Amino acid sequence: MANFDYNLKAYIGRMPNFLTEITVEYNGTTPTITFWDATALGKAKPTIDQLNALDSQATALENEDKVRYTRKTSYGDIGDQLDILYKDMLAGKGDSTGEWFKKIKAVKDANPKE
Amino acid sequence: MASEIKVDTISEKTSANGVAIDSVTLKDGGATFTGAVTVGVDDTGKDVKLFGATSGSFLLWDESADALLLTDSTPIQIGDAQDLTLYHDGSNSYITNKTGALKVATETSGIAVTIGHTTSEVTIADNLTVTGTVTLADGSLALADLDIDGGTDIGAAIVDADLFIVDDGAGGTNRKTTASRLKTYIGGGIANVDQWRTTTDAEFSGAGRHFITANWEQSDSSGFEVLGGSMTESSGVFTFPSTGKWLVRFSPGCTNRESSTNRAMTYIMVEISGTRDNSSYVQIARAYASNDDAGGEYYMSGTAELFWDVTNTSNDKVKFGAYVANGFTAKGESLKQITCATFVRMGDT
Repeated sequence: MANFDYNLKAYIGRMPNFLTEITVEYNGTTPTITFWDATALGKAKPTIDQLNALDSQATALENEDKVRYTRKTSYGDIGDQLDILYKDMLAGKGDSTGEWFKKIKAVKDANPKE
Repeated sequence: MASEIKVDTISEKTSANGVAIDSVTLKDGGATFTGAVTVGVDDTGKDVKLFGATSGSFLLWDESADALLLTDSTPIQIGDAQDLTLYHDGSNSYITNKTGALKVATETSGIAVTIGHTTSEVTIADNLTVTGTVTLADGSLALADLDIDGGTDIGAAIVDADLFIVDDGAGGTNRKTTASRLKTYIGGGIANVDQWRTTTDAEFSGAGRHFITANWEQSDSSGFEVLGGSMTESSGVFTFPSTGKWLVRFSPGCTNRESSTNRAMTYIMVEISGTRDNSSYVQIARAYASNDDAGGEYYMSGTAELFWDVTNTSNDKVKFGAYVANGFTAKGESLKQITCATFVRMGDT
């Protein structure tokens, strides 16, 4: 079962704002929607069963985010990346032959999106 | 045979001797008695009046009153230097002494001394030293029994029944009051303290409001001891052991890691939720934290606290949790306070 946030994302078409558009309360792992701003969301409030029915889509969306999170972490510090880019350009390797490109490509290849 | 001499005048024959009749000598208007002097007879007295040098000042043996009378400011003076005087000046009566101490009933043991009528007022104009026991008028409490000189420590904790003396209404009237009354007035101090914590990490998936409903334990750390009654917990709902004004504090130790993923935690609102009917909960305290959305694992904490007036232990309850932007983990250990709650009873409701 996916993170329930992604069931909501699958239903709405985007990740909602949990501060202003939706309030979800959990009793253990069971969610209850206690506030739903239909105007802001452009969708009527669904039942939990309706949302649970979107679990496969939600899982896919969650996996995309997981890949994105994993890639983001693997890319490393932005400052370090800029340093590598500078050295590549200094060496005349500001293209796909540079170290930065190789590192980024390796991360993307190791963490493909579905 | 009785004889009687009747004459108009008896004059002295020799100027220096006066006139002697038996053992009484009359001379120049004076009389000298060399025998005992008796005036009147038993049951039939006679007045004897002695005038002073001041007009209206005299001493009178008043046989009809059976009393020795002295006019105002005509003192009895006793002592070679007339040290002790006893007199009335027309307004007040006086016993004065100008040499040594004025001692009253000091020479014979067991002599009772009473000063003043039951409704009169006795004024001690200077220091008063009592070498014996002073007993209050109704005899109910001897001052000595109060032991109010502070010389002896109470030797034990003050209990509700202990008595204190207070100036009632700042009117100068001292009254006793119990320690329990003082406790009511100034508060009884902190008499109830309890601490709880979660014993294991707990992951919470999804944005929204989560409550920590499991793995709570009362602290059993060395050095911690519950003061007063214990809180009770069931499925994350805490019940107070007694009514009163309670300080409730909740502080979770959190990370943004959930389901093996470092979540973007733009906000985590640490919350205390309370109910007044053992059913409907509202959020009554909140603290904020967040992390840098850079994909790393971040550690966050916040402390939410409030004073919660518990008037009914069956209905007034609290539970703890957080409103979050993403999944998170509330850290917990059985040996230390990480995600923890503190309860302190500050006073009566």
